[in-house]
Amino acid sequence: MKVSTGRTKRLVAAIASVGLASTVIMTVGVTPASAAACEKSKIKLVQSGRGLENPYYVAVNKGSAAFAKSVGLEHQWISSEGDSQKQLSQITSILAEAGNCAVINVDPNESSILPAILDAAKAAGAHVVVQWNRPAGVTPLKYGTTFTSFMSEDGNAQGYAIAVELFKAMNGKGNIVALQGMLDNTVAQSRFKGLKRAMKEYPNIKLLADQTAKWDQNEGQKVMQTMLTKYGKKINGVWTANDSMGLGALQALRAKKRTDVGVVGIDGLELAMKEIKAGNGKTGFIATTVSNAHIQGGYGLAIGYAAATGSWDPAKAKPEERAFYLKTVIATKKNVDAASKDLSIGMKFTNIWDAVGSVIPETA
Amino acid sequence: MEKMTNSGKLGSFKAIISRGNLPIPALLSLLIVSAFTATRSPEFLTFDNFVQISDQASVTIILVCGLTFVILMGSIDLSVQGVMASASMATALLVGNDRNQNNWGYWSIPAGMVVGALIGLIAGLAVTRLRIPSFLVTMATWNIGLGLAYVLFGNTSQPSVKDKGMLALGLETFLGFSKATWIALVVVLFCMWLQTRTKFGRYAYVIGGSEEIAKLSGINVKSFRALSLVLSGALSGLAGSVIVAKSGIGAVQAGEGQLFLGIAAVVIGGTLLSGGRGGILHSVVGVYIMITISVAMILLDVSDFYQQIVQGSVVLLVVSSTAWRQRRPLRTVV
Amino acid sequence: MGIRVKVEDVSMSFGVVHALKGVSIEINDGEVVGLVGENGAGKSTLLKVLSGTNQPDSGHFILNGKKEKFASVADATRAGISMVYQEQSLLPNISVAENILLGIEGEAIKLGTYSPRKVRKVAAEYLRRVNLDVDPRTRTEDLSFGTRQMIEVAKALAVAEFSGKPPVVLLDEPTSVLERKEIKVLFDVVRSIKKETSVVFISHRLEEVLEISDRVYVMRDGEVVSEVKPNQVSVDELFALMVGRDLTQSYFREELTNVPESSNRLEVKNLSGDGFKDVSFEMKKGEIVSFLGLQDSGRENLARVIFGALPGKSGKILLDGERYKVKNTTHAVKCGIGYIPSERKTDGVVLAMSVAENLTMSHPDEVTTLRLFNKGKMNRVVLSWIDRLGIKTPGGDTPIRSLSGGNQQKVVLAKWLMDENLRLLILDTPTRGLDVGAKTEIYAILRDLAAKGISILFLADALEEGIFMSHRVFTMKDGKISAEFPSAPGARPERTDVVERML
Repeated sequence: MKVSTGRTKRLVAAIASVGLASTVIMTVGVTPASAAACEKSKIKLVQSGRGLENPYYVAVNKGSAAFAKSVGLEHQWISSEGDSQKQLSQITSILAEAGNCAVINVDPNESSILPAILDAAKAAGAHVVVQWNRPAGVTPLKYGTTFTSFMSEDGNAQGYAIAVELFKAMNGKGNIVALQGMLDNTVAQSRFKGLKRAMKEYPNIKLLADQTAKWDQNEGQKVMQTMLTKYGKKINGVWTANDSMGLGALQALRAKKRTDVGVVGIDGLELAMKEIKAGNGKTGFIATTVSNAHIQGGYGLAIGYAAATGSWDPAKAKPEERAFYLKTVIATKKNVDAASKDLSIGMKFTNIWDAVGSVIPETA
Repeated sequence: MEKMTNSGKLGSFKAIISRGNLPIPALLSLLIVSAFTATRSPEFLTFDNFVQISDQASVTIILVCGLTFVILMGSIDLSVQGVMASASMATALLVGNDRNQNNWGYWSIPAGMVVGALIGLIAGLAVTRLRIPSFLVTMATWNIGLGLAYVLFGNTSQPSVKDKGMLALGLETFLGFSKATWIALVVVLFCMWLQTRTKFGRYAYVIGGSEEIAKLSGINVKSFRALSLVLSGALSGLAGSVIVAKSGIGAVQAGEGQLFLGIAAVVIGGTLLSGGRGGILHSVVGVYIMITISVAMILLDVSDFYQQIVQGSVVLLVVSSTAWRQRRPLRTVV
Repeated sequence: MGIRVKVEDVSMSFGVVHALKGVSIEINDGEVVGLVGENGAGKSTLLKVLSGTNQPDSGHFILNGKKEKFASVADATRAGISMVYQEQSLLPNISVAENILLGIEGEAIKLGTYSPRKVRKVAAEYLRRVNLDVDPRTRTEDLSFGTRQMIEVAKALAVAEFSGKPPVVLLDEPTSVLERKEIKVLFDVVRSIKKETSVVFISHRLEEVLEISDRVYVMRDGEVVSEVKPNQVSVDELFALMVGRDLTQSYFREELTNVPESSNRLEVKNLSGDGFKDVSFEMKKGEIVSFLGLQDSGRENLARVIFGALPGKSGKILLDGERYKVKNTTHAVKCGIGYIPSERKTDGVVLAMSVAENLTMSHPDEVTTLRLFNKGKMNRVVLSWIDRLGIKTPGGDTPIRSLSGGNQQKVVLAKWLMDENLRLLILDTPTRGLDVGAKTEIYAILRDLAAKGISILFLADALEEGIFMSHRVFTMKDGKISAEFPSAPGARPERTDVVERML
């Protein structure tokens, strides 16, 4: 039977385009809302973290405030209080309000909540910059531009750097003990790996024992106390995975009048800085990392803001702009004065990539 | 006239044991754990180690004394960590510190106790007047305590103690033992006196044994129960203040982990959560068991993963042996 | 001899139930007043009102010439009146001394501080008065049940005397949980204290009341119907006054006595267990056999072993000719053995549950379809049993704790009777603490069961019960069977003969 060619052609074309469109849609997944550039006044800057009772987050928040001020906007802080579901619902309500002009700089309470946060942001067309936690396999490059950037600290580099300071103060030889963070925590594990790496370069340093003190100051004091019972005079130095535990260890050493032992930690807590300043650089608290909290708060928002206003396109970005480790800076007696100032004062965001230390490999 | 006899040699012996109310299963467990560790670690049986264990136990012992009375009466106090948080912040901010001009010296410690007692009073009133179960009330006061601590923390920093006397209290020793240990000892002696010699202490057992009989005997159950919560608050507050001396700072995390440690110690010591049995000595032994286990783990260089298994197993063993003695043939489930 | 307490025109209702209707009695100095009546007659309620536990709707008391009302237990004890309750009111976890002085420490506590020596001294004095040679420091739970009951008496005495007023001690069924020997001791104590302390005594065992009281009030349906002197009245006459009708003949339902079948249902050969040794006996189908014995006779554990609640040590048991192995209670139930314990409240009923739930708990098959509760089935089954046994309850969903003791026991019975498979029913003092009316109904039910071919082994509460209810009586002493008596209407063994073999 002869069929009208024209009609057939149109029919075929229609079917084909529907097929093509659906294929495209299926491959692309959820159709994102329009990711058009946002006008500055419409942009909502949001900082999400655990809670402001923690000095770390206080510093993060100050960094966020510094950035917001620098572009003439206000920012909003939301506390998750350790509740992942709460964090998610807080973010989804903000997305409902601000839509694609929301810039969310988030420290996920648990890695497992991140995909839900990203999906919600994607549907709204917003931008998310992530600190610290992401599940394995979920990376900015793989997920898409919604997952604008990811930044973290290089635990391995940190653990290594403070270990080296400790070993130098010990003149390259002696025995140390190590207080670890929670053993199933990736940050704790990388930091310890950093210690091990440093030990390879200092063959005369011996690790007597390592135990967890669960990131807690009082626990650190107790564990150190018992280690002193066991090893006593043999201990020449203490490596701790964070300042809180280090300060606890310091107390235990003081109780036993062990002023000959040096302690190092990570995080740059105000108290740790004070101890470093008051010490002699060789014993007591010797070194810690300068806190990057303000950088995470400030630059996290800066990067998201750049994406939201269109001044930077994540799709065309270099790998180290999508996922990077912050620089590891050590504070010792030498530079403690400069390091302990309120670092959020005088922050300039002229180059938003100032914060980048090194790229995080995709396989990490 | 016929006489009913229950004395003779067996009777008096029984009377002494029951009067003594000794925590036998707990002491045995402590002995076993200690013996085991001693054989594998030369540092365990040293005087220094005993001093260190006592020092680590001191804070928990203080709060556990208050907790024991509450539990004896059949209630529970979950607010320990919240109270320690606010007491620690209050004490740190009142003693000479680096955040303000206050200089209360040692008086900051009673101040911490008052903070704790007030929180305990809120709990006591809520439980007795509003008749809300202590489980729920003290979860709330836990949060109130934490909230208060956050407010005192004020988004700034953890206050650091500058008062030399306070710092010395935390670091120095007296006759070989840490000053915190001595404080704990005083608290224990006081609470033992409460338990054996006062209406409050004796009635704690009565109320825990049967609230109805207590009421029928004309005992003001409400007052005693509220009082127990006030005491528990005050002692948790003291624990928080002692932590300030030991750590040198005031922190919201001052009480971290103490709730589990405290309740586990009470249970392991032999005080029944249902009330009416056990006592101060029991709980003190319980604390020693818990602390000895964690110290032993480190002395034996065992990973923390195993510590939890060991602690859990010991709790199970002790609780089973207590329940074993009360088993009856026609009961399948205790 | 003056009037110590006068109860005038006291009335009390619980909802629609008139527990007390205008009751007036007198308690004189130096006397023991007995109080008898069926369950629901108002005896316990009267004592509760006297002790301040409940407040009457109307009426008052006259003490020392003054009109008094008691708003609480504290008021009554301040007036010198104390009660020994039916349920144990001693705390197991504290010492005897502390229990006795609980709430009345007086001089022994100053400024909230305790003087253990003073407490012990006062307590020791009261222990002596009740003839107990117990160290006051002993932990209460370490003592036997009977001893504890006497300590309760000591406590009541202490409480009553603490007031400084002429003391009155109320005893609500104190003997229902005591063994014969202990009852004798109690009576000796009552006789020795009655000079200063007046006593009011309730018991279901009429002989006891007549033995110890100086005067007896009979109550029926909330009223005092009679006042008698023990030397002027017999047990039967007293009983007739109580029930208002002459039923003594058929109290034990002798007219329902059946003839047991010839084949053996149970054969026990050389059974030994905790507390008994080498016990051998047989029971026919449809036979009622009673076991009598004192506290250490071993009869309780014998019953428990047969039911599988306790393990046996050696011996053999045949059930309907087949070997029956003592494994556990589940196995026993499957084999058609039921057991009703003496501790009804703790071991028989689950107080927190409803009548229906208690009834059906052992035999879920009757009320389930494919292992799921079938509400319809449940209702039908429950209602039919309530009907059959005459259980007085508003309905199946009523919480069982609100039923009277007798009706609770009927529920327990029904629970076992539901099993069509039931072959042997073991009862441990099933009528303990029940009133006369309830007892006779239970006796009728047991006769009915025997007639259906179910064998009944029961540990009798009282001598009469054991003798009059059974086809055969076994006495046990020191873990062994000491005698066997056949028993038939008109040919009952002599009480003294039976008692002799028990002691």
